Amino acid sequence: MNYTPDYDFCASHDFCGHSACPGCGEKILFRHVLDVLGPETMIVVPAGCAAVTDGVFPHSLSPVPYLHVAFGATASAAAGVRAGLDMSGRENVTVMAWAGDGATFDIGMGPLSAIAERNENVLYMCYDNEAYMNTGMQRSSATPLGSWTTTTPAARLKSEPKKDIDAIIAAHRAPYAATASPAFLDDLKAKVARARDTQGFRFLHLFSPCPPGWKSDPADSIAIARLAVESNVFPLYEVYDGERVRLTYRSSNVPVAEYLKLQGRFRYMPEEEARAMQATVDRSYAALKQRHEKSKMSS
Amino acid sequence: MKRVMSGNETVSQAVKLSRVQVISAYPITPQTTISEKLSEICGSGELDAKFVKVESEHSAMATLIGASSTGVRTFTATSAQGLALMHELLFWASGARLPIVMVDVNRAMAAPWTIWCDQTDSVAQRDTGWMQFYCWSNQEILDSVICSFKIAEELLIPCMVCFDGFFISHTHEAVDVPNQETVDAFLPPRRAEYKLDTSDPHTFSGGTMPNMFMEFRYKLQAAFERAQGVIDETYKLFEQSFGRSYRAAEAYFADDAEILLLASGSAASTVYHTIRQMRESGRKVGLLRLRQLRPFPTDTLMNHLRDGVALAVLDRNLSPGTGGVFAQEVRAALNRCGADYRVHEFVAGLGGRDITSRDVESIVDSLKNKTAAVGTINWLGLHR
Amino acid sequence: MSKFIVFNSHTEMPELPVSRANMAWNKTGSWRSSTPGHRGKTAPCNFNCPAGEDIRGYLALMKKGNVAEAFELLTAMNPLPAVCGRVCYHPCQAECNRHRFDTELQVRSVEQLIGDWGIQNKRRLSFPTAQSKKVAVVGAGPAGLAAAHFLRRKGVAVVMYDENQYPGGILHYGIPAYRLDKEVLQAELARVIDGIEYKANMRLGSDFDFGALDEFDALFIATGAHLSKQMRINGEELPGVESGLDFLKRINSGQKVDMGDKKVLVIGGGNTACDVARSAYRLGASVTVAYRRTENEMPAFAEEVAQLKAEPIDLELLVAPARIERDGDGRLNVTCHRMELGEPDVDGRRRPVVIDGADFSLTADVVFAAIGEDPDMSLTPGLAYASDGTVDFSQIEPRIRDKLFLGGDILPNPRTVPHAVASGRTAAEQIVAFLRGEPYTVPEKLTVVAGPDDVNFNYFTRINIAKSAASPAATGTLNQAAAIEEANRCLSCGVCFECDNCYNFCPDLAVVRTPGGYKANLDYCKGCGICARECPSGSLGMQGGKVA
Repeated sequence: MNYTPDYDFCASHDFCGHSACPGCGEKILFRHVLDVLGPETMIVVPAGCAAVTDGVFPHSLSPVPYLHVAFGATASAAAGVRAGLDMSGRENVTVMAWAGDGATFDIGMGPLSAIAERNENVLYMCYDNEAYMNTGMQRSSATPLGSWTTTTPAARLKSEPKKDIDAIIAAHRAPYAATASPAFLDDLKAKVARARDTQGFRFLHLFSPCPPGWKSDPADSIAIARLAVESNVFPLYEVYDGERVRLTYRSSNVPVAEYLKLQGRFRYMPEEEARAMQATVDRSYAALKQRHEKSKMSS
Repeated sequence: MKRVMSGNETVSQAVKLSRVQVISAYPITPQTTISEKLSEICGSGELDAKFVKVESEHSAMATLIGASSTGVRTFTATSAQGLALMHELLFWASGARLPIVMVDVNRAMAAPWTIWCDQTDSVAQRDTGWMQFYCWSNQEILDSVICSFKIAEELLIPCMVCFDGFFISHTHEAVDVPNQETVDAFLPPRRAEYKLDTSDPHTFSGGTMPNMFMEFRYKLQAAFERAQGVIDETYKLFEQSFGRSYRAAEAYFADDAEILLLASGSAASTVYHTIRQMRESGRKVGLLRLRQLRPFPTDTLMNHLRDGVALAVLDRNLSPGTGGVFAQEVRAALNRCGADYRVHEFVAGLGGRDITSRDVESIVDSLKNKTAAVGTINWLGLHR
Repeated sequence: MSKFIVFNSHTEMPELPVSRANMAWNKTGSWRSSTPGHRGKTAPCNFNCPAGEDIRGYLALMKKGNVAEAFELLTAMNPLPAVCGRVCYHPCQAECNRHRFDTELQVRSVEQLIGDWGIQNKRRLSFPTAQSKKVAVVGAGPAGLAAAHFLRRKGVAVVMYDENQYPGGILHYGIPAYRLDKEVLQAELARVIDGIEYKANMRLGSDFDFGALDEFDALFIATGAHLSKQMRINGEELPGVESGLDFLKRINSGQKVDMGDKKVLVIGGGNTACDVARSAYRLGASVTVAYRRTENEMPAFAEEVAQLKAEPIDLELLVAPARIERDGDGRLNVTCHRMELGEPDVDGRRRPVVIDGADFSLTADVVFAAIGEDPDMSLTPGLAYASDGTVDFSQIEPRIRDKLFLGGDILPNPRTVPHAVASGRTAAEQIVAFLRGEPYTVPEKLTVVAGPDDVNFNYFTRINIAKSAASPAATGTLNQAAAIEEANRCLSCGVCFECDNCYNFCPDLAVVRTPGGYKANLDYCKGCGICARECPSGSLGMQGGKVA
């Protein structure tokens, strides 16, 4: 498989007409991921925004074979597709799981851990919009501290920090894991290519802005995705074999407040919590940089 | 070639002969030795298959849904809690028309905890759109598993083969194991018309609006309605290849029976032995062994009912609030056919309690003496 | 594949739910409440260039190293890049949106490189064969040169008249060589008026008059403003009190002027005063410049003043001469008023007011008056100026008047080289229309400027050019590589440079590439606005409502 940049795979396959919200981060991610992976790919998709906006029978926007599965079944079904392909002489086809944070951090966490532990030859991608957006913006374990959702209303905002999925995956010693943001397309595409060409269990954690759920202007989706990285809320890095960390982008350390102010879901956050968030982000990022240094890999 | 094997080991032989390509299973008593044996033969290469060692039964079924969607032949085995954990995906497999074959080693459902046999686990899944077969011998297990692949792949309906935990799973019997060539001739490789294929990409099981969903259920129902024909045809071919014949329900001493017992599984063999003795003393008792719950063997049932016969259904399962499930199915089948028979419902053996010849005698006696209740459950062996 | 599929019977449906068709039937464009489109804003450099150059355009060509194409595009509006690249006051740079981000684009330096390239590569413009119509251009300064050049490009035969030996007007005879090298100037002019007859030493009003121009179908008079204003003080007529412009003309004509050890006083605060002062200094004089207002009000280009102050020249501010007398040593004694700023003048600058009792003396060997210039009306008999500064044609014979066009400093234009070029080029267009008997239509100009808020600076990196050849503090010229590097800092304000951001960031793949830009696929565009928000140059914007 050769990575051909600017392979307009989706553009050549009538990707238009899907019912995703205006400004949807998931669709921006999806088209570029598919452009890198190309036609020798099969996608396993659980319930969530992607599944619902794929289309209604007998229509689908996918240019590659696309298997809908039940909400908590993604990781296992992907392992099953992999097994079936390997047993029928199609080892070169990439099996990709395309799941939201709900299916990944919560209901599908067990199976995800299992396929990671077994090092299944599956490329698992989580488009993280930080809540159960498809069913009406209810909180997930990926929802950040202090965020509004329909189940963490203003009077009772989310009081737990976001689950650190990247640390969990690292603990499984995945051969390759990385974070990526749609505002940094070259970085995203390079990581998809590296993931595609690695054997074993690979995990990509993708930042996916959601205008209705985050109460943001659809036009701001990329700006928010950029600020998340620049403010170190969502740093861009890779983890190899659960140990070696490589920061792939040096942020400009923009204040977290700049990131928060574009999103109504953070509007109710008390002042001191926003300040605490800055401190937490600073600490995490410092720790990440240390791990990067220790890994002694050049950027 | 005859071999003495346990019920579970027989399953492994059947899976091997059927050239299953992807197996995914999670151990649960009393199924565990199936998992272990299959791991062994996959590991040694005796069976060229991938055994995906998942972390739960839900994942086992999910894995097979994924694998089966690529067009390969798939298998799993489970019991009780494991089967229940797969519940949502059982609907998925049938709705997606995937010819997955599963063995369920019948075990009672907790709570309270139990590892012992009853059929509540599989009968509780009768609405999920799977075919269900019930075996009473290890030979039957071997034959049923092999046939199930052929039937499932023809109808595009997943199939579960059930047999009693411990009573059958752990009992050794002599089994005539056919050679691979004969099985290959009987059961060729799976040819999936619809599968995940990068040269012909499609999307499977996408959201379906109200104006189209019902037609898919109609199609599944239509497949169930022609299922018996396919099953019978398969058994005919099986007989030609292997010399053993099967029917949807097997009748023993039924032709002139005044009292007909309907039973399944290992309990049916107890009934068989008991009524054989009764026949020797001239009592006109018969047995109709129900081998299928889905599709329900209505025609076979109707063919064996004489006017005036008293019917007793022995259920080693319970649908709380109503009673034994086979009894309900029998009543529904009779009503469908406009047949008017009183059905006496007997529930026994839940949670692995032994069903004895004395229990069978008490059934027959209660029918003869008309002391058996109609319209409520007759509990056998209950400590009152 | 793009139809919405309806099954009339289950028999038409596949056995299991497999989807084969796509979603293209779903025209999500109906969701839209605003539509993206190129807004037609112009770059501030383009908007502010008096010569009307497409600066953004030629910088875009320079980015890729297309110097030849950049040269063509630039000279389509201004034939004098080597000149302007040295002497223009670069209002483009002042308005550059990069100004507050890091440093404004050093446009003038790039222009200079392009001009020098044209000279080094001996670019010749291929003019069409001259047609039957003939135009006389009187005055070979920047306005006349531009008019002659553009007339010739349009196939009109041109004859130029100028009172001086060399063409160039103020470019040769006003601006000193240290600001504009004479060889570079003449090399550029050779290209500009290639194929145009240049009649030297022909002064209108003395060597010839309007009558001699009867053979021409149109006349363009651009004789400039070379008459120094009078200071109107006693002693102005004393020897040693001279016009600054005349001094410049003498040295720019190659005459040797001895200034060694002399004390020179320059009165005035404009470009001429600076040129005079700095030229005198270079000839060995010690120079003082006296200006009646503060530095803030000095009409000279800020750059000129800064360069003047960097040299050992005294700048006396709020000083105005009262009278000049000869002292006992034969030197000039200039009595000066101290001034203070009072109420604003008509032009908005605060009026200088004499401070009583604060007079003082300055001694000088030479006093140059450089307080402004007027057109020399003796060159254009019959033309007069009305009190509001506009030209009065009433005394010109109709046969002359009907074919007479004016341009450059003779009109109340701002007195800069690019303004003069624009004046000449516009005149050429008007003359061509006149010769064809067609009405002249003013070319449409984009009037909405892309400001710093239109630019998405996330897509540009701050670059410190302090140490590069392009640094404003650097002396010397750019080489081609440095010019290309500098051009690559251009933000392309308001104009698409095909970066593909809009194309890449659209969640609906509803941005379609078109030649030179993009457009929304109106069938699917949901109007989310990401494309406009992430457009680096501010070319894309959202317009309310659905666009059909």
